Amino acid sequence: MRYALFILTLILAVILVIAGHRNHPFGSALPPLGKLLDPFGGFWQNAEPASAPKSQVIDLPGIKEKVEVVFDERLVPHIFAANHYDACYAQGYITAKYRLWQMDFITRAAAGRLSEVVGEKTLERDRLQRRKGMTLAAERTLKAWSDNSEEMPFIEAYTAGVNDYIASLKPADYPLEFKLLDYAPEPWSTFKTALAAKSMAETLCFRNDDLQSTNVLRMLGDSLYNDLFPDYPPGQTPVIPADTPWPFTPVTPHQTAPAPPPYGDLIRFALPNPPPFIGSNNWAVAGKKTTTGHPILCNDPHLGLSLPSIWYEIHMNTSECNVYGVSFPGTPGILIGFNDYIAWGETNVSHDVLDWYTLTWVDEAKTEYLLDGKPRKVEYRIEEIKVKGRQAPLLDTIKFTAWGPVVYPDPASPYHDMAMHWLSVDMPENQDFHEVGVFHRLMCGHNYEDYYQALSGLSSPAQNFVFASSQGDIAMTVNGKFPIKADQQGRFLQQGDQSANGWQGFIPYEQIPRVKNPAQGYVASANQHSVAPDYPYYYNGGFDMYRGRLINRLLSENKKFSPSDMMAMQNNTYSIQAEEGLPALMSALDTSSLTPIQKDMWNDLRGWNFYFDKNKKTPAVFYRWLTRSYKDTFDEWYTSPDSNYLDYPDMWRFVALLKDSPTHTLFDQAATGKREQARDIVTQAFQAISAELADVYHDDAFDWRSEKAVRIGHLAGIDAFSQLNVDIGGHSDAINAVKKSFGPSWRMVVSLGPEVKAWGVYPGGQSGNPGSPYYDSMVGQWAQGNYNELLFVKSADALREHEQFRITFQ
Amino acid sequence: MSFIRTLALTILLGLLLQLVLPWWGIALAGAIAGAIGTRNLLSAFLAGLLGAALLWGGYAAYLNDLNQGLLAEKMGILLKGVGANGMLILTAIVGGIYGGLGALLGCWARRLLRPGKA
Repeated sequence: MRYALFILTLILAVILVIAGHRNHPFGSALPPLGKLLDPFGGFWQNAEPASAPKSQVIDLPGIKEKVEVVFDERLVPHIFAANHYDACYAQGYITAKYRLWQMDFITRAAAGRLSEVVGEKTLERDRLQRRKGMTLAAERTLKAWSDNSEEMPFIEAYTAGVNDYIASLKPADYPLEFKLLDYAPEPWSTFKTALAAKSMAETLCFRNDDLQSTNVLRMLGDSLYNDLFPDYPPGQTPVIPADTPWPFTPVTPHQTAPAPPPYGDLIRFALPNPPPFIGSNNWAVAGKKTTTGHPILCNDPHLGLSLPSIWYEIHMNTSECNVYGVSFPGTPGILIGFNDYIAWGETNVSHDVLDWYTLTWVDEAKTEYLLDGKPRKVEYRIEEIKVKGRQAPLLDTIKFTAWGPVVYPDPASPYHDMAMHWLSVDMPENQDFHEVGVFHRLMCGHNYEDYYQALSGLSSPAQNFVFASSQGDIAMTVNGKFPIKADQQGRFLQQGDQSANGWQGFIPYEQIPRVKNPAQGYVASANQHSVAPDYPYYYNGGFDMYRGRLINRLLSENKKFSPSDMMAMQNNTYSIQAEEGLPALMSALDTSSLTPIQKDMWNDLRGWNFYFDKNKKTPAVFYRWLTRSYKDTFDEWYTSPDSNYLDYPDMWRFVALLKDSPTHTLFDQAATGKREQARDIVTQAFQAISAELADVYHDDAFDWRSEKAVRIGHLAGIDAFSQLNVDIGGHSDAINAVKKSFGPSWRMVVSLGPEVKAWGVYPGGQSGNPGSPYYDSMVGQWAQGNYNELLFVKSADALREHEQFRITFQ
Repeated sequence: MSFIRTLALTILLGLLLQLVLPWWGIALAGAIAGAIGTRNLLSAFLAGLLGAALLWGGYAAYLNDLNQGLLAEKMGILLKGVGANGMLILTAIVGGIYGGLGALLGCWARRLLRPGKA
């Protein structure tokens, strides 16, 4: 009996130990409490001392010569190395030291390997990543890098640096999220760097709406479709100024526009799309228009606002170059930055480089399909997906055609037999260098010629590369590989049984849109159309209507710009959408019987200056009114059971309809007996939003900031590690394009000349550890529109006043 | 005195074992302290509990102080809003339970194996 009781207690103790050791013990929602709370190995070890760490000397057998890394007050590393190889080695080590979990998470998400550590919850997401061809794309990219490319040594050095850091870790040192999700870091690899590159491509050039457009074309017919979705919006100011000549003979596409295949019904199928106009601003102003007499270059890429931040700020000084900017964790080098001679930055081009094709199967088992009248066998690729909690991995067989993968596997859908051709999955061409090499060449570039040569290596994601040099040149290149298409090709679903429906080669590098030192004295891009309609190649895509026009308007003013003018411009919240949209709404509104609250709103709107300031109420009223009117007008879309599978007209087109065609049949609502016009829709929308806001409109707490509630979310969605309700204004179509969870992810202003000076800020901090004071240390500054002067020095000694501590690698 | 001795042993062994063993080293420290310390089961349990709670809670409080409470605050939100101080108390309690159970079992095992000296 005495023994029985003892054994029972022992069993209880063992159960408790197991419960304390496992994540979600016995099906509960609990984390591994014993392991996590243990102050010797659990989360307390990630509670970093607020005081500066001590300097360290670390032996790394892989480096060639001694490297000094000085950390300044903001924890920005300044790497001083004898050569580029060692600098990349140190960059790998340091980036892993501060961002290891982020690197692991981004590449897992790209490769469809989240379920390994999360479980069933992410399985469908993982499957989709594989079916889109992400792992194949990364394999092909790595193959291209490995075949004699000049960047491979740098990628290998970076990988070795990351792995040296991982090898130095004890479980107690693992980043917090590894402990919370209860898994261990695995070694880095060059393949993971390829995955990081593909994850960037996915964010920036996966967006496609071929199927949604095909559906809307069926729904509306040609004439109304073309009216609502014109190729080129009137009044746009393209990335390359409209008067730029095209002094070349274009390669003519051999075929005219293919008709969409004869589908009578809607295609009820849509992949999750990256958000539209995920974008950015950049511009460069020539010395004749600046107070310094030398060019000033600015860039603010808008991406998902996240913690840890997407960017890691870094300064690399080697015998080959002295360069400063932001890097993407997982990738060696600097993606947006400057050196003593040049500065560069990017915005997204957003051309459509992803097309869908129908398939004509030969046999019932769907192992062969027709291409140009001949049967072709599909190729199979088997993806193995490990799932936490499952004994055996899931094996997913993906069929590949000449076009690409047959993405959608569910045979229950009549529309699953379609193949996807996405530029980023294509085998890269045999070149001396690829995407990583592009940036290494820019990092060490001296002049326009170096920039021109460097950009030739990039295929996707295509970017508008702005450029300025201390010699006085400014330039803009719409850069990347662009498929040659017949007019309208790739807008809609295409028939996959004719190879002629494929891309007809690529626009030669010399013929892609670019401009150098235009007479206007500046260049600018903001995800708008690349060129005026006279450019001799057809392209389609999703383009911003407002930011580019505002930047052009401001920069064309007859004045000289200072760096602080440029900072103010990056934080400008003025909206042309409001400037054009509000008068259109107001003139359509029936003001004969306004209630007191509606009168207040009306008067406030009349006095509004179109700035989306955080502490104003009018931006919230305007935006609700505009979007409500839009939805009520396109009620045919929103009330359709297939609303998820449709393409929606751009907002500028709606505003133009209000202004120019207030009696258009689109304003008629099907559900009512009445024949509505713009006036009815707009008035009814105003009544609806004034009813919604009646109780809060006069509250001090109600303003644009509270309406928008900007969130900088933790990558794994943990609220406790996020910044919620950030104190900031701005709007998606203002230059300061802060949306709910997207926005300027790095603001940079570089003043070139004999002495290069630069300023920057991003919505996060240098450390990826939620337990570090540097996790989100710049968020407040970013929201306020303040900048840090970047410590762009030539030697470690020059940092003496700013040095917190240093790491010496030897 | 043997209560104090068991308590001190739990802390000392815990400190040593946790340098080399995972978190459950604290339970083992309690077990050894219980086996060579007091012969009274209740006193062993309480000594192990208090010793382990002091060790985990004390070390966590030290780390928390250096960190100025930054992470404990966030973890407190994550774990159902227990708060920063709640995280310290929870840490002490969880450590205490494992140390106390360990000490109880250690003491008990010795009494079963060598009943004559009970």
